[in-house]
Amino acid sequence: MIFHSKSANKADTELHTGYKMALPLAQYHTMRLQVCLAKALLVFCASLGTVGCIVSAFSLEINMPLIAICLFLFSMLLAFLHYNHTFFNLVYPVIFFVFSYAILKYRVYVNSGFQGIMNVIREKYRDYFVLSYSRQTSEAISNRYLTMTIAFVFLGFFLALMINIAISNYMSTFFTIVMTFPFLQFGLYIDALPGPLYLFLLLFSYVAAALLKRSGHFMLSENRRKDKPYTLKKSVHSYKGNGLLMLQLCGVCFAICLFLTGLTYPIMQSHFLETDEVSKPKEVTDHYIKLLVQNGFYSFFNRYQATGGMSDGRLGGISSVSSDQETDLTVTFVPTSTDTVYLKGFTGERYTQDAWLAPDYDETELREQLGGEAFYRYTMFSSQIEANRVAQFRSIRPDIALQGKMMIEKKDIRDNHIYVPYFTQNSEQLPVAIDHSVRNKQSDLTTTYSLSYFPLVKDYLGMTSPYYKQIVAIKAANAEEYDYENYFDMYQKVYYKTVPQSCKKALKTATDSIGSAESIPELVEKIQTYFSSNYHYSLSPGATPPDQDFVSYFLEEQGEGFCVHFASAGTMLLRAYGIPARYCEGYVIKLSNLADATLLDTEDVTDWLSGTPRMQNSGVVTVELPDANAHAWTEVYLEGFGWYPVDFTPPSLNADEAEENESIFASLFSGMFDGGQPDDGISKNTGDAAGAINESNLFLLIPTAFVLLLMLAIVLAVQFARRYKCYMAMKKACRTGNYSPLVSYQYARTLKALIRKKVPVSKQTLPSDVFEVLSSLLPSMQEELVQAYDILERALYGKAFTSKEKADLFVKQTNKACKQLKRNSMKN
Amino acid sequence: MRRFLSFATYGFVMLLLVLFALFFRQSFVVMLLVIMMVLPFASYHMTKHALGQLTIRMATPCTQTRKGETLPLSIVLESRSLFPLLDIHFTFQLASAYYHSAKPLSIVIGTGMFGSHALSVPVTYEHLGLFAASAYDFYTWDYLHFFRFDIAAKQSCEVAVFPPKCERMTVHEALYAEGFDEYETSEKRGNASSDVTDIREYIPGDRLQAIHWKLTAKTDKLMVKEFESTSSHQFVVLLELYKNPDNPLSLDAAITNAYQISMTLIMMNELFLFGFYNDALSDFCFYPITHEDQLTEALINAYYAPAYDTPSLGFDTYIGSDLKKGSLLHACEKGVFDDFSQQIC
Repeated sequence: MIFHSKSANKADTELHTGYKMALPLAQYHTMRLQVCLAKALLVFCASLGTVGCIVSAFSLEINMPLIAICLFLFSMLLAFLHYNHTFFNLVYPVIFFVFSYAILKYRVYVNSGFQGIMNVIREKYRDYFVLSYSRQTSEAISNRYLTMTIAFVFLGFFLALMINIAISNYMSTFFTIVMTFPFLQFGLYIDALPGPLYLFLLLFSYVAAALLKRSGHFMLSENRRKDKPYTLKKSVHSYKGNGLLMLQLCGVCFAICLFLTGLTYPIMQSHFLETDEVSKPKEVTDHYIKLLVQNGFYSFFNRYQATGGMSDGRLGGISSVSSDQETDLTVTFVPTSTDTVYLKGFTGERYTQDAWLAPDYDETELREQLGGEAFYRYTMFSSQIEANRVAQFRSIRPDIALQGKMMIEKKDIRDNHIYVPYFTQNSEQLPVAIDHSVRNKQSDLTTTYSLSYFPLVKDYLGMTSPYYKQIVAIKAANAEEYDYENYFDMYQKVYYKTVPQSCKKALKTATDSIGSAESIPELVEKIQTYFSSNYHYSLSPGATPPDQDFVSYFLEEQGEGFCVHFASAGTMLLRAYGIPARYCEGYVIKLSNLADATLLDTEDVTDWLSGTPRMQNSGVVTVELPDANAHAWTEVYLEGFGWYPVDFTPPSLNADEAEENESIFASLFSGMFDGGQPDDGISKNTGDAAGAINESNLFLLIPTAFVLLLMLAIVLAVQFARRYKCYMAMKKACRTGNYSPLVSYQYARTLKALIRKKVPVSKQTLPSDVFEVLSSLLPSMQEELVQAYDILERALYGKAFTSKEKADLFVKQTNKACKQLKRNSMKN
Repeated sequence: MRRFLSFATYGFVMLLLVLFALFFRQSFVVMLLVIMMVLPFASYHMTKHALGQLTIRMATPCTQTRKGETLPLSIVLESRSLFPLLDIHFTFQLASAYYHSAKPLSIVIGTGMFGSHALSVPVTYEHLGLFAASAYDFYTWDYLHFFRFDIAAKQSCEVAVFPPKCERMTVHEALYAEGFDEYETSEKRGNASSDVTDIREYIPGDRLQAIHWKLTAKTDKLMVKEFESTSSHQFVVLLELYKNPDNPLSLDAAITNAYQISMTLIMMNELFLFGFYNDALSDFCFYPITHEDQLTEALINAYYAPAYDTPSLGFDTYIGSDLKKGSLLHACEKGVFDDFSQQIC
């Protein structure tokens, strides 16, 4: 509907001035091709410049000419979409679908390419910051040249799409810079200067966009919504949209940018590599960049570091665990079974809402109880009670009991824990005496140590083994030590059954669900079943809110977690059942680690192990344990024996799932979907992380699709609502006897029909001129058209309402004129 | 406002670069800063150079036209500079003293390098009079919209609009007043024995006998002699420049009537005086008319005279004065009347 202000009668004005003057509108329709071409070049320069800056800064080996050709063609297509409105409406959705299809089809290559690009960038950052490690994500396809080229093509296409909107529609320098400048920072931040050609292209696109925006010589007629033809009110006529002037401006920008780049680049190059003093703000950002490089994006959400081993009892501050793939420990030993070997480094006794605290009992009480020498002997007794008992059992049953030697070397760990397997005997070789981790010993200087231990074999204390009773039956040889044993039992039962109030409710709910058990082994099994049925393993469970209890939050709300969650919850559940339990952290040696172990052929197995291992063909092996092998578990106190490890963590889906989760941010598109298998037989890396279905990414797909559909629905609804509102307003006016809106509406429809029929009029043409053109095309209808124009003029400018008869007459005459035009065009 | 925005944007970018320089402490940011600081000077000088090579002119194909005809008015901006000028602002106005002045238009045009831009405005002259078109207040901005350059160039041209060509009017027999004998040879143009009052250039239609051959040989232009009229009788066409505020067409009608009667007299080979009352000078202006070109010139002079709002001021003043130059033909909006207020046509 056309709404016109009730301006003064034009005829009166013309009479008064003595002349009639029509300022011609600018000739927008000439040089549309050149305007689109200039815009296409700008889009091409901006997108290629961005891609090229990354490639040249990091010296990536890709097929740059291919990327340039693809971007050039795509930029041309995008810019020329704006040549014609119909073409634009038709082709843009097609481009969207084609782009989406291509992403789906080549997701493996794209994903692999992105991983490759990020790995290269991380390596450069690691070298720049002199980091000992950086995160690496596995690439599904080893041919980086191919995958990175494809990835850059898609990145370039995406950039071109976004930049085209900014340039073709609005010529917005701000948005062009926002979309491209951050990519430039990748290299500039670590003093990796991009190539001069790409810097020039970017600079040219910025300067040209700014100048064209300032001049206004970039708009095509459809963009000129604010432009109106000459009216009494409007007195400024801007003749913009000059295609030739636009090209000349681009030429001036080109020359200026070329000159500036040529002048400054050699100077930049010569000064770039100098190590200048780092500013304070950069130091701060350097810290976060290092964190990002080492631990990934989610590390920003961690309250403390999530890699490098254990967290020393801290709970709930890790949003996502990431692995740095660096070796933390090197362990040399003889594997005795396929069971997991636990190397304990930390024991947590007291539970607070967000941490396990190491035992720190008050020795005074014991001293008072036992006094002096007796206290010393007590600590000696209690420090290796389990090892002693197993050793004694071994003396009875050497056929099944084993004794082994283990050498542990701390490689990438910077803590002061001693990592010992079950059940380690004290010896002089150990840097400190092992007690029951009553307190953590400090060992700053020791990196390599050997120990003697009695390997934990399940059917020692397999909970159903008959040997358990025999071991338990082994008591202290003399009465005094028996007293110590009683006191030891009493102490464990007192100090390791405390349950804080904050998690009692959650534990009650869980215990009601689990039910009761006849024995500890049965209870442990029930708890394990409960966890595996109701909770699942995840390395990205999210951080616990600071004001919430860690165990309660896990049991009642979170529903997923990693070893720390299950170990803490399991420990508290056992305590809730009145069974002494404590929390442990350390490293584990799994069967999969043994598969990658190095066999030491020169070593004699008998030097490392006495007894018959349950594994056949075992030998002396060296196993490298990365931080992915850091683990948390529970120790349960078995009266008469001591502390025995149990593991409540359910098995994870895939060992490499941790890496795949980290790829979410880097490969948002392709990482959402199933990687599948490449069709061309290109070899894959050993890791299949990129190819695995990333279930946790599916949660992004559904909301994204929903949001897109919602936006589309809103746009359609708004369009419909506007039209409906106009229609209802017109109907309402008609009901009151005012048919002027109807006349305006009919005129608008007629004008649209005339434009479709290629009559030389536009939306900006004055009604009087439109009717003049119509009169010239339909000379036989001149009188009727004059009458119709009179009705229209009165409806638009007059104060009186238009009557129904006049409105009907106007409608009839305009429809007749349109039909006549159609007949004439068919005859022609 | 726009200038403020440009400065604000520039300042913002400079601030960002300064922050970058402090953050990175690398020479490349300093280079960018230097480039940004140089930009305003470069922009200023480029624009100044371009302005030095700019010429502006206004043109119309014809300075005289007839009522209802359309003539284009062109404003041409020509640049011989390597640097384009993004927007040249100027004000354009077309007005006539006889009519209401429309609001001046502000126009913005850009010129390319070594290029010109012609804005051609078709004007249809609906009424009679002298229309003055002027383009003034030229100025432009530099590329960064920091500096405004005023261009000292004012262009103007005038277009005189005459009534359309007409057929010979049918005049009342009262035109043939006493003293005029249709059978008497008109001596109004004078004869060979008459005194030469003037020498002027040849106008087609002049008698060959009137050619001043000696002067013609000297000047290489045909020159003719004007002889003193031997007839005592002549017509005086008095144009009434009365503009009726209730009827804007009144002046048009009066001029048209004056023109038509004058053309009729010319067609009748009558010598007459064409005159009007100039209210500004408080005096009459009379022009002897023997040919259409003289009439045109006289009419243009009439256009320069202001219109007055007193009805019949010219007639009344003429009658009240001692000026009696001949048989009066009073041309007003209602028609042409003699000095006895009898309508001639």
